[in-house]
Amino acid sequence: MNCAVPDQPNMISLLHNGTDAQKDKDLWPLANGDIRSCFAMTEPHPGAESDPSMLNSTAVRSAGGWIVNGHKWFITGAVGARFSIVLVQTSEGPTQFVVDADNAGFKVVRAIRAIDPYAIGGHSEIELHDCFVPDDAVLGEVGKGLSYAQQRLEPARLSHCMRLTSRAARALELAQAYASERIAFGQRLTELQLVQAIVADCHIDMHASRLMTLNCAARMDAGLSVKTETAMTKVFVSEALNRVADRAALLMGALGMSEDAPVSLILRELRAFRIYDGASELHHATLGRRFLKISSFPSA
Amino acid sequence: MNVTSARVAALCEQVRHFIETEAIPRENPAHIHDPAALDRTLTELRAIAKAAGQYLPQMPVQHAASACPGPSEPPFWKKQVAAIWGQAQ
Repeated sequence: MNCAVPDQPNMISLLHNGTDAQKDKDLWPLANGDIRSCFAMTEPHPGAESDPSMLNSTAVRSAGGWIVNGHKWFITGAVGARFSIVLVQTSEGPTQFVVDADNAGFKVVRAIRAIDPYAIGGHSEIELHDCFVPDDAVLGEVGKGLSYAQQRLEPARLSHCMRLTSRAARALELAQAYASERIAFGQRLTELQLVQAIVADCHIDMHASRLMTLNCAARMDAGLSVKTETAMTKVFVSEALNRVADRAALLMGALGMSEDAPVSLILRELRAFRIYDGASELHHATLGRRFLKISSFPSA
Repeated sequence: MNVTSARVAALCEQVRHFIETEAIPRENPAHIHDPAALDRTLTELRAIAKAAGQYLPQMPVQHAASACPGPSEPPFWKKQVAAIWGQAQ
């Protein structure tokens, strides 16, 4: 349905910040599903990861364009992507560039096997080596790359919440079906009060997750700021859905731990969700500082 | 947007039907960590989702409000806006 990361937030970025030429070349084929894309921000130590201000990859002005050098990893969707939106440091501040995957200076080094099993385009390591891009490869304005990154993160977090709520719902349905059939100690699992309580807790988590996501989406539709709300929603939903998938696997016993049932695969996806787009702990720290009006971490 | 409206409820049911009848049957553990196989499945599913009018459901709401986002958008974009959101709201 073309509503998942990284293509979905890349479409948002191109729609809001792209030139007409960039829209014609990249946005419309992406939206139409003719191509895929990726977004390259995360870097190996000591580069940018949870702290995007640590960008080590650079772009310097050259005749008619820019020379980009850098090392990125865990770039979702890179295998098979037609282009990448790359966030690098320039003398005028962090800047995003649209880099074609067939650029001679752009190389997908390897696909990294991650915990989530069905990631379209995998999670890859990328090298940019003397990668020349023309001036019109800049996305938006030079120096505004971090604010554009924030702009894309908010709808991306909601997209994760929506998609993975459905994955958790499936895990729960499978577990309920199993518990309705499975007999132990002379009765069906669903006749055990502890199982009933576990199922009820799962539905409470699912309901709260849906409500938080819907509220956030409604605020976004209304043009209101969702900077804080998306962070709170992402933390709550990722943790709640993990509880649901974990309980679903529990109800299915050994089968829930195996690849014979999709529940274990869903559990792996949901564990990753607590890390991707900002770990819960990072959001907690950011939210706490925001609520307490503390401006930043002390410098190292 | 009223998320309890019949229109949204119908969309949710359509998506559920699509996932149950098209996406889940194509789920295959042999495709784990196989980007090429996943891309083939993705291409199949996108064609079906488009035909069913369930493509690009995250269409920006301001486009739904106008139902005619502007002169530069290609025809498929406008078609999907209409499929997801109906006519101007």
